[in-house]
Amino acid sequence: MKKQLIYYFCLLPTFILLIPLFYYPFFLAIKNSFFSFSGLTPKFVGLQQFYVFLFEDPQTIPAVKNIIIMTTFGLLVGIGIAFIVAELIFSLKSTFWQHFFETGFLISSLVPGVVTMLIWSQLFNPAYGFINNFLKVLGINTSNILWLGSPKTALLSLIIIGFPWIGGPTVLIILAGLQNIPKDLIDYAKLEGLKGIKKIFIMDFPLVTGQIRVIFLTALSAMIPAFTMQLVLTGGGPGYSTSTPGWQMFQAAFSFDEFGYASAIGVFIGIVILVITLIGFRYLKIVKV
Amino acid sequence: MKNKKTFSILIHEKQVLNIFILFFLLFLVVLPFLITFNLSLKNNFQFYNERWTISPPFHVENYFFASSILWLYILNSLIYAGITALGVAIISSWSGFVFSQGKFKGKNILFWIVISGLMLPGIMLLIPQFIIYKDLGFLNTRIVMILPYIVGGQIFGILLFRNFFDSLSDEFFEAAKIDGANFFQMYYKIALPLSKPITTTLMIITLLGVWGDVIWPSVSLTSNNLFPLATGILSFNQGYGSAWGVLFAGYIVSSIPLIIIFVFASKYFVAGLTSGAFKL
Repeated sequence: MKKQLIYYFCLLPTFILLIPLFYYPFFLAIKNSFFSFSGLTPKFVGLQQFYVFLFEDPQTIPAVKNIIIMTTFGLLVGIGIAFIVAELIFSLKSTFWQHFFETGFLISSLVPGVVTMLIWSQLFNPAYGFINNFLKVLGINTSNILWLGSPKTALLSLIIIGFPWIGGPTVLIILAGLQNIPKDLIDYAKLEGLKGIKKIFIMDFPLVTGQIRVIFLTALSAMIPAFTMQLVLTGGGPGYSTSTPGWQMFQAAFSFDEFGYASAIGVFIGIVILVITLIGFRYLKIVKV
Repeated sequence: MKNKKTFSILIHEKQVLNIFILFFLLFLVVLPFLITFNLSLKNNFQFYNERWTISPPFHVENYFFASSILWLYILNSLIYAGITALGVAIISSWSGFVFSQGKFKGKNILFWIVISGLMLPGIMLLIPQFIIYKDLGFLNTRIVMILPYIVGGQIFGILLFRNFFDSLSDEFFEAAKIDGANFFQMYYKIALPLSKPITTTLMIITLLGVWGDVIWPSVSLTSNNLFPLATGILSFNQGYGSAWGVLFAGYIVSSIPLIIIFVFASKYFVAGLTSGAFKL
């Protein structure tokens, strides 16, 4: 018994950090979501702030719409292109070139996200930027294309950032899946005359769904609360054209000092992520069987 | 022999097209940086008049100027990410070891309590964390850029290390026990040396996380001289918005540190970056 106590003592550092600085904040987030901080002292308001977020805040509908568009696009294109690139690299017989492209795509995704965003915001500059100058060469009248500056094109601009959207790590994960396909299976496919696109859809794709499932869930739970581009580039504007729920939460807390309302939004986003992840776990596992 | 891959730089006839497509894609990925690099060597006159051509003289001094401002942010990022990575590695490997080799009541419940943290959405933490660190008086200190990342980072680390130590053969530890090693000696003399690769991988994962985060430092730090690179480059961006060459040189300078670290530890980077695959 005395010996067991030592083990609990050994785990103290972990729990001393986790309980007050990780689990308590979660509890605080939920508690604060029921309180309004707009007065001098926090006031209990029940579910009112959730109601305001869902039905009254004029920013919510555009924000939710934006995050759905961005997440759907990011997931489909991000995974689709990574799969194509992985197939292309996999098809190379020479290890030198395989390694060359693996490293090339990986290094380019090591550039800090903020720097990538800033570089793209310069490319979007209506007067000096590369994109409008390039379009001009093609004979397109660019005097009205303001990219990040116009509510019509701001969201599109954020989506374009990072073109051609090749994530080095994603490519490597899918490539590892392709390399794990048993050789008998590849030989059998050859014997059956399975080639090209048909082979990719009938054999390769189903065999890397394990990797894709994990990428899908990780990316989804990272994208739903995202607002870094809003913080760095657009501030959610012009108007609400690039806002997201995460950005609404951030603004409520740090621009308007409404910590209660912000907590309510945070809890709501958290629940959405949790539900989607749990459904994803269940549903995607069924697919596997 | 047919399928065996040999180390060869030769391109098979059939693959010329594939290599060409890959080169084109890589070119598109790198293009923004090539444009940025070209612009970074120009003065304002060159920027306004000959933006898209390579135009000597090259103003290399733009880089000296940008570096003279950015080095402090890079140093800060190295300090924050370095200490955090070390802290996460120490605490996770120790607790992971206790969870793996310790024998005590409620071990699995305690482990589950730790690991369930992986399921909780991080977005909910931002605001209460801000309030707590504010109450503790840690806002705008170096602590606020280290402690929260250690607290959160150890959760995945403990999972990683417990799985690793569980997968080791019992013989390692049994032999040490017979030799009279105590629990701490087993950790220090056997577990720790064996887990060097996985420790490096975890440190890289942590480093990348701290390095890339812009949201937390932008709410928790206000003094410019404490900024990590992620927020430092933002204030640089505002301060030098009209000195175009310097601005673009700054973008290039801030892209370089991680790539240099990559060159020295590429194997662990690959493991760290692709860790998403075993994260869930």
